[in-house]
Amino acid sequence: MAPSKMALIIVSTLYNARELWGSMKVLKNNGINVRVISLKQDCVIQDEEGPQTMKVHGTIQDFDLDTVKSFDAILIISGALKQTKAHWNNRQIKAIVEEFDKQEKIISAICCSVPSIRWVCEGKKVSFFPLNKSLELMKEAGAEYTAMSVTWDDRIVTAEHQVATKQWATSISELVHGKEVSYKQQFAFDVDESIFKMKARKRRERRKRGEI
Amino acid sequence: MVELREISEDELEDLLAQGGTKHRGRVSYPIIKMFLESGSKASVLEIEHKNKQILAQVLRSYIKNHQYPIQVLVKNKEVILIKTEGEPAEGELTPEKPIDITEDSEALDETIEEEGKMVFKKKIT
Repeated sequence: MAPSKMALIIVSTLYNARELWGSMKVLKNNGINVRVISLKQDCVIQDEEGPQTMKVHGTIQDFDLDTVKSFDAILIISGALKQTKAHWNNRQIKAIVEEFDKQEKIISAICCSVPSIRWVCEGKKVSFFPLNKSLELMKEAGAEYTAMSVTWDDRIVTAEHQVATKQWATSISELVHGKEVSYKQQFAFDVDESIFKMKARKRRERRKRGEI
Repeated sequence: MVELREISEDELEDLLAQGGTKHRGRVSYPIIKMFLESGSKASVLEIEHKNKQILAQVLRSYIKNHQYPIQVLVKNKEVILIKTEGEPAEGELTPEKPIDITEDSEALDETIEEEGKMVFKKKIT
């Protein structure tokens, strides 16, 4: 009997239910077991849109890097922005992602959590929810923004938004099983960074300083 | 009891600078984007939503504000997206040349903090 596949899911403490449950369902339907960890000490996380809480398998702080070899993929799932941003510069998450990369596993993230995997995205094409801060971090890391809903480049699978969860998780499952990604996007969007607009407050401040 | 609260010019400037009705909707933007990316002429939107009529109305409003060539129908409790043809409206996609369409975007929800907003230029491939 073939050994079962395993995926590690790092989830925001105020999680996006569509991303979490949607991706777990797809993974399990494709024969991939999951282990879910988060930053919360008591392992209890909450749906960002409601009171539903759940207990995860463990904490990021207690994760043993030696166990990476037993996983085939890592998924980082977002939620409320503040809690998701807490992953961006977390040293333990960085170490975990880099270990997954060193062992040539599938590395994936969705929406606002994509900057959490920027450490291994140099030269890679990625999708992420279009926050300016995310663009800044990903560019610094040498990643290339594609503005597509789902992007896969070698072992990196990223998605822009929660609506693409099924396609994102399916792509990850296919790569875990050594298959080609079947999801095809016929039409490409492009992003023009030179015309991004500042928030009104910043514009007012710059006007007062005579900068614009 | 109804009350009208006057807003200052600064507040008004902030409100208007946020782009009015042309915002990137949390539900509409990803759905429309994925439909356009698929290249399909027509698609059934399979989505968990309590009221498909309301969802269809939200999508129609977004499409109208952004002038996309898409029609939204609700048939047999299913939401159907259809690419329409005809005279291109301002901002409509054409295969001959890239169209410069900018979209003001707003925060996804109250917790999103952004230093600025990115805008998109749509490109035909």
